[in-house]
Amino acid sequence: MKNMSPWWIRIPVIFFIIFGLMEYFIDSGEKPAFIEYPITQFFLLMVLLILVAIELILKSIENVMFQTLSEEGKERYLESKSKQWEWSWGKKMYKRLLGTKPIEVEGEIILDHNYDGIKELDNKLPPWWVYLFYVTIIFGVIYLIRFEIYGDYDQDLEYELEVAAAQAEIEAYKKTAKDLVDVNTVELLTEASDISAGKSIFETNCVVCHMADGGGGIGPNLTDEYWILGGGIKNVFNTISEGGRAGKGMVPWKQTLKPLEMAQVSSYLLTFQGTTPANPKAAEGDLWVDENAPNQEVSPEEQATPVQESDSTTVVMN
Amino acid sequence: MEVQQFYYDNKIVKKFLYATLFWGIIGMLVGLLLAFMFLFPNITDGISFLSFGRLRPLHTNAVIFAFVGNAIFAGVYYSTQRLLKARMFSDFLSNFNFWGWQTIIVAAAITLPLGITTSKEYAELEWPIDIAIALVWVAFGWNLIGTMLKRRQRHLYVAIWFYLATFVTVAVLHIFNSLELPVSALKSYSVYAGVQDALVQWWYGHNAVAFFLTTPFLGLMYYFVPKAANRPVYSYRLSIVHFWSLIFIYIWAGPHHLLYSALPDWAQNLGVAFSVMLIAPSWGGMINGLLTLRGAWDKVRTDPTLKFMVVAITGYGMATFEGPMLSLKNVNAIAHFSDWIIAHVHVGALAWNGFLAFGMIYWLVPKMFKTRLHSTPMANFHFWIGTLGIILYALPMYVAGFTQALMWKDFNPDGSLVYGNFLETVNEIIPMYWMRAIGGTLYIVGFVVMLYNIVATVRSGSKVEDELAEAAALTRVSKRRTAGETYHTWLERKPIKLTIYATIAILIGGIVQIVPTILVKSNIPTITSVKPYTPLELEGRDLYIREGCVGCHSQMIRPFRSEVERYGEYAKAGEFVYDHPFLWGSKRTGPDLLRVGGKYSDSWHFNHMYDPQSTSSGSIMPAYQWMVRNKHDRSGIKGKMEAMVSLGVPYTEEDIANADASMEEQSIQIEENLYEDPDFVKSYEADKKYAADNGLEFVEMRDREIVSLIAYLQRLGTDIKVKETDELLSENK
Repeated sequence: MKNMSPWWIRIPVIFFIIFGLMEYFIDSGEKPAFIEYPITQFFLLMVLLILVAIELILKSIENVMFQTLSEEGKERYLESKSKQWEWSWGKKMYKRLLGTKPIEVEGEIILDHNYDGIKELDNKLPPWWVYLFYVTIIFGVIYLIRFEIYGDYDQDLEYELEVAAAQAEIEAYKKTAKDLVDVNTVELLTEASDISAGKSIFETNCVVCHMADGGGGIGPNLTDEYWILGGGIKNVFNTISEGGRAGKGMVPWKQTLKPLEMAQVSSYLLTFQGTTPANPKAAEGDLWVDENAPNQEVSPEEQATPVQESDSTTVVMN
Repeated sequence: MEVQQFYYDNKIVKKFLYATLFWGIIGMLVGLLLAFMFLFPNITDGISFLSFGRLRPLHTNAVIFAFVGNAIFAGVYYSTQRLLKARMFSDFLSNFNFWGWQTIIVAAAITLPLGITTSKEYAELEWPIDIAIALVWVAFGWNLIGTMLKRRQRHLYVAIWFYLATFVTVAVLHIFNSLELPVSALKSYSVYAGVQDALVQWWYGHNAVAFFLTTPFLGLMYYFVPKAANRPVYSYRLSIVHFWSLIFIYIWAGPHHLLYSALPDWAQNLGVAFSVMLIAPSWGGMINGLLTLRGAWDKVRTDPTLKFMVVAITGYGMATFEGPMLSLKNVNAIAHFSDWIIAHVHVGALAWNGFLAFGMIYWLVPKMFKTRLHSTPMANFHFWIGTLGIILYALPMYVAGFTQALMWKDFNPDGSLVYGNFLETVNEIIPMYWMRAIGGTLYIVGFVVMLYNIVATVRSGSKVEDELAEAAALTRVSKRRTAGETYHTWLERKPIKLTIYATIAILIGGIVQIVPTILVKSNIPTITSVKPYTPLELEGRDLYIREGCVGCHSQMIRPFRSEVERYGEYAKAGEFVYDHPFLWGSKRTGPDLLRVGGKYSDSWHFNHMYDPQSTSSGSIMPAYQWMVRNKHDRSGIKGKMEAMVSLGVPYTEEDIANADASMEEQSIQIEENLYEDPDFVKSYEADKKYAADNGLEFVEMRDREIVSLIAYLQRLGTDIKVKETDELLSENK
């Protein structure tokens, strides 16, 4: 019992060990157990009280024992108690792990080297350092065996698993999520709030190429009835989402804008139809006629989209 | 035994010290300017030789090779003579080393801002300078080994082992990484391509850190720390074990710079395993340094020299623990390409290299000028403001790196990126860039205070003179005296054998990794659709190299869902087989460009290069207006293509003969595409008219640099998209 740590170390340490074990063994999902099941808080309180009670009992036993000692015995006991407490276990451990000779006796290990007045001691390799080295070597060996000899996963497989997991999550999300617009379901929005939201999106992202009034710059004029990739809300939405012709047209915006935002900006820019911009760019593309049956016109575009996506992941290797 | 008298050469040490101070302040000021360019991108508006891409390599080279390099030479020349009890082998070689090195630095300071660069990090200098570096380095080694051979101290001290390992390894690394085929006096192509080039480059780049920034400084530590503390070195045994394990293991770790890249998995795995094993050998140096101060900690409180050294060694310990952690693939997946790495290298550079050099200078200068340091309070002020500077630099960069990397990876539940626009992630960390600039400023303020302090000390001191010393000459050791000698003690009196063994230790790792990658073709799966660059694209690629685009833009999409979603299909080894040199990059200040080809229109690129903020609001990319104006000299194209042919790129003779026609055709096409933008037409035609009216020479758009660059950018990553593009084109026509 000589090196026993004092109560103010003992109680918290034991308490937190029990706390940790409890969290480990009780399956409480995402939240910690003591929040998920309030009853455990009562349990922890009991643990704390019992620990304090044990300490009190020990103290009183010690006191009772002390009273039974002779005067001489009491004195000796107090003397041994009054020695300042120090964390001797920790200190011993530190010394052992460092393996250093104390400065007072370093004369024993000084080497007869003398380099421009620099002397060298011959301290042993610090044991903690040696263990650290061994552990890293073992790590390295196991790592190489695992991935090189047993051929555990490589980074391509890791990628496929990541994508597959994400795909499953997205599917699950889409089943429950409402109001998801895509190219098949998008409708022209006419609410003032949608149009003004579309306006601000347009002004942040699109004016660089199409001008604020839609007159066209790098990109085509949006006010006329001629469209390179087809007019109407569905085609416009699709062009914004997937981008235009490689190297010539627009960037796909689906990474930057949410589906609803793309619907808003599509609806907004369709309000340009028939207006007269300050510097209209010459018409490009074909005259777009909405025949009340846009699905037929849209279909080649829609078919192209999935093909495009699957192709971008195809690599021909020999 | 006859005692000989001789003189230590102090003047060469003084020269190197002055050079250290001079280049140190320049290298750091360039760094500070770069830090402010993150906040004010167009601070050097329109001056091509002061643009970020060209100054970044100047900053890294100036700090590594000019500041740290000269500090190494100063310390090595001072300590070697004293540890070997001999004057340097040859005064001529010492001076050749000094003036040669300064000439190289000046050449770097001129060529890098002019855009004359190989683009390989820390090896940017072009081939004539590479040859000069090799010559000067050999002179240094010759001088070092010569001094060893005429030494009067029988055994070699641990510092000398480290100097030897430095000399040998840097020579090997420099020569093999700089193998390049010259196409003109100031232009060459790396003999390696793509994956091979990347592996060789990072074998070099990593070990430049190891054998230029670490081993020589460990040598300096082993001399100057015990000298300044007046304490014996903690453990001789530890120095043996950590020296050999360090140099043997370090050389294997290079591939950790290429984790999750298109580098074959086996090389990456070796890099990870050996990087983790590197913790203990690195920390051996830290332990030996810090524990040498046992019993001298009271001195640390008062002596600025020791203070600097303690922080230096602590910084070394932190950086060498962080390094192996960053080499774990899951940590690397977050840290790589982000500012985390910038924080990591600056802990190494500012704390370990900077502070150890400062400590050495504060100790050496009073000694050599036989006086006292002008002001200890000033040195203490330098110490505290410097330490504060390091903290203010490093912490915000850690936060910035972590924040941005997590933003890059953040997904909405519907599978789209939360921050699909790269700029959102940049704007988020601008405050961190501010703090970094402030931290850097503090560090430089400290440096300036030191400059003043040193100048005042030198003024008050006497002239530096060669120092008289005496020692007995070495005689043959008798058998009796060497009886019972341990193996390593024996080795310590055999400099040539020690050099050879150190060489073998460092060659093993290099050979195991690099030889297979170069010999085994199957390491690089060939992709049939990958074709060599057209002549115009090749010229554009050289502009991309010239402007240092690779400093901020990677061309390496890692196989992560977040990167594939943001940039496109992840990189395949076979895509890079014609890339001499590779341009994967190591930092993403801007987005990855591997698949930028075809993403934007030519007009977008044109406007973006002319004024990045006009197309990308809030962008911190500087404008490249000179590329829009300058005529592009493409006259060397045939030589370039022929050089590529000798490196294995399959251009036919016909291709080369038709190079000019091909460039003409492709550039006219791009010029036509640019005409789609009415604003462009207006200003371009106005310029043309103005030139015609005033009889000025007018450079057609097709002949300008921007057109070549656009050609290259539009090609990037499209090879494996060929099918898709063809389909789209046939659809649209």
